Amino acid sequence: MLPVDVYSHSLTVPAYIDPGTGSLIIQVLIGVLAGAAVAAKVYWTRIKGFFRNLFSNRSHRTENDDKPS
Amino acid sequence: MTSRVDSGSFRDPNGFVFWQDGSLYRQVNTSYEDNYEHLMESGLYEVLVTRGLLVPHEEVNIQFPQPQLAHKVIRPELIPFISYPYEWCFSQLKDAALTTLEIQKACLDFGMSLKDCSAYNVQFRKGKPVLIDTLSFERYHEGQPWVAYRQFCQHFLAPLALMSHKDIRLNQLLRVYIDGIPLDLTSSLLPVHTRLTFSLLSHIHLHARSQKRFAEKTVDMKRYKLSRVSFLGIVNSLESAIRKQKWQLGSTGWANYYQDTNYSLDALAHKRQTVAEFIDRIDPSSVWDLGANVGMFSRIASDKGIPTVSFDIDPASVEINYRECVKRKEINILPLVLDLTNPSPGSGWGSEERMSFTERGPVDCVLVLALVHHLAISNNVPFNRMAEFLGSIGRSIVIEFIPKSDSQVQRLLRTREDVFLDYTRQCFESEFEKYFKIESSVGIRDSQRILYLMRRR
Repeated sequence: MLPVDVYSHSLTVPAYIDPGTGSLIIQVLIGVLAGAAVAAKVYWTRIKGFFRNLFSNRSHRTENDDKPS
Repeated sequence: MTSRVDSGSFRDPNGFVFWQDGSLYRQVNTSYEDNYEHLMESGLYEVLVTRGLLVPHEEVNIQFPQPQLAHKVIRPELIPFISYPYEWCFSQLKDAALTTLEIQKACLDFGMSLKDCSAYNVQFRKGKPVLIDTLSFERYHEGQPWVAYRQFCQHFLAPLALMSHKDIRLNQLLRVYIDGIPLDLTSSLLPVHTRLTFSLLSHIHLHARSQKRFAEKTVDMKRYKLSRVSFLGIVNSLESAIRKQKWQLGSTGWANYYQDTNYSLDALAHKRQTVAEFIDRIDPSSVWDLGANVGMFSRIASDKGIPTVSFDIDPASVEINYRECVKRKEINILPLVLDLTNPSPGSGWGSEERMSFTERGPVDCVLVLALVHHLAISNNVPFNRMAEFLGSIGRSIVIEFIPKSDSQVQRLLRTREDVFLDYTRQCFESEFEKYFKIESSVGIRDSQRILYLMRRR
């Protein structure tokens, strides 16, 4: 019932409003930049998290060395 | 059984809203069956309703008004007072925009997306914006651009940007342009410095240019695909753009009203007490407060648990009123912008898609406090016309008469000729008695003003 081919040139049901050709095109262009920003943010959060874990692991090990066994 | 389709519900082939025996229903057509069932079964409906983002509904077993198309009929919870984006203050429109984007983000987690982003799909319920169009959801297919992007920019980002960067009154353009403010107009009105911010440069200025460039062209849309990450990027970018739109409240004429009035503390206390007593006597199921300013007297009713709509002509006063409503998490008060001398008319197709102000009444109780002198003197409205109009919207009124000797009236007359020979207490009472029965009148202590409780004949 829903057309499977979403890449056909007339946009699929059930969009009843006119999305506007110009709006779709500019959206794809902005999306490239905006998507890169999202990806960079996710990537950067992972990098920060990695280093945070690295340093907190080191300090835990140093503390444990000082404790009496 | 007679059902009547709502005059504003005809664009979406997936269903429509109708009235039957005084209740509101929505028919869900078979063309929407797959999307509807996915909405309900995937968990998205539960999440949105629990978070107060979507109006709850129940499925009902009544006769389909259009059985050849019907899949199901649902009964959504009724919104007590319908309002429109051109009646909202800045922060109400901003909150409605953020709610729409929050819903869109939640949708993507369940494989769905909003197929439209009309500001008319949002209403205020218990003090917060909520989506009322249960049929707004469609399945998300990666690669497909967001069909609602244009509508979001025109209904939400454009008016907010204009209000923030140009003039707070420009949201009134929403009254004229029923599908949001055109982007080329927005772009031409916005100051040049807005082209220096990525958000407005992309979503307004370049968007407008792109619309113009491709207006008459046919394009092979197969080339233009939007990945899921890019889709999320667009939504996040719009959210950041909306959050950046701010309105600094300067000191406007009306917002500092209560520092500027001639009420002594004793007079104000007596007025509040009398208004409270009159409201108790009327015992209304809802109240409209006209010329409510920041809502001091509206709150006498809403704090009693009575749903109250708090109207004022000044956007700054309504903004302050709404911010207070949000801060205190109030659920019974709805502040709105309204010019009583030119209230919202019916609009849209057949002038019937959006209700006029008067069509949304009458109500049990209307407060008309510290207002008649503005209508009579500043706006030349005779008492007779005032009484007729108030009789058409309120079954009972609590109304304050401000005599000519009052300093506020003197201030209004300072720069103009006093042609208001009929502006007297006797005239006021005799004109109003043609439409109302005066049940009570109380002179406010330490003041020359008089409060009346009147019942419509």
